[in-house]
Amino acid sequence: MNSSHPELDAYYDGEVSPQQRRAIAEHVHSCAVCQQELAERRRLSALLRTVPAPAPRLSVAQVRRRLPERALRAKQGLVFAPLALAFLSWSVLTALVRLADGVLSFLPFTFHGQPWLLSWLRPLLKLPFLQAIGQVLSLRGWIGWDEWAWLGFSLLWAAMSAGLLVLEWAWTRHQTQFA
Amino acid sequence: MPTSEQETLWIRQAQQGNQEAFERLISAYYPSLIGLLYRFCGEATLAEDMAQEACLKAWLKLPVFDAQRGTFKAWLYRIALNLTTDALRCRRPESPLDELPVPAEEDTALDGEARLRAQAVRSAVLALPEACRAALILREYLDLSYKEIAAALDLPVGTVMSRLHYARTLLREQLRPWLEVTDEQQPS
Repeated sequence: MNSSHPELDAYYDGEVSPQQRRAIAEHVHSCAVCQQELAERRRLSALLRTVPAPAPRLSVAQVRRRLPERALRAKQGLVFAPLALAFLSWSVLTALVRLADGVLSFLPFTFHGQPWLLSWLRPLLKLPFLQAIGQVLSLRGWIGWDEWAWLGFSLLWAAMSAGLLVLEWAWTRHQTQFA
Repeated sequence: MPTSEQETLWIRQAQQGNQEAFERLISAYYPSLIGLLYRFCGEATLAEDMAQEACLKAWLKLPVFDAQRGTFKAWLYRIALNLTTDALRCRRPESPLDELPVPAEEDTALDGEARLRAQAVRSAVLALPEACRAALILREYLDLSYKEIAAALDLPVGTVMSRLHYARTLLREQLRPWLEVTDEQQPS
């Protein structure tokens, strides 16, 4: 073993596994250099501990008197995240479908005059409930823009939802950070 | 030192706003906190100021303290070390935190060779690079385990091990004359 290896420090500090401890102890027993290294570490520790630290001037009771009142604040989880995630999923889905549908409509791969890959999704998107959500999200029905506006607004909603997710995650992380 | 169960109870009570429980919790670590900061920055006044600031910050942040991520002791030390590092940087923004000047007003209780030795040890510790100084103090003076040091400094255990090794290597070089004196004083 290299006598200046950090493992010798770990051994000295009692931070090795029982197996490592046995192996290193066996080695040290027969290695004069490592014995000297360990002895130096002991002397260094002893020397360091001869230096006193000052006693605190203030008592902990005095420190306590400086403590401000703190409103009880429970650990907070992510509040907006589920909503933002739902918006994000829907926005990304509608944007992807619209984009794929638009791209595929230019391609010759059609089946009975319809883009064949996503033709099964079209009836789904035309369900009254989903269409209503899609229209609300894209403001399509309200503004009356064409279908490409749907794509634009879906992407906008996706970006806003992702932004909200990131902001809340960052805030929660800041709150729960060590210091 | 409180038992693990006592500490858990005090933490829970303090998290709910109980100042008395927080005082009991802090009492266990306050002297060692002062010692840590004093050895880290070399100034008794700054060490005490930062220890108090750390207690205040710990009190305010205690509701979000997560025992799964480390012990309270490591968490408190980490807050204190971060505050002290920031304070030193604000004071000396143009120079690195390594090789801090050694204060001369300490050690009034010591005399002669003991005083010289204390001065030499203190200046050698303060001359260590900041990155490994904290690890060395936490190990040598506060007896923290590698895992606790890793939690206090937010480092992997392997990095703690290498920093400790580096710090001890530097100290042995710096303090060689004093180590030899200690050696000669020891009975053969």
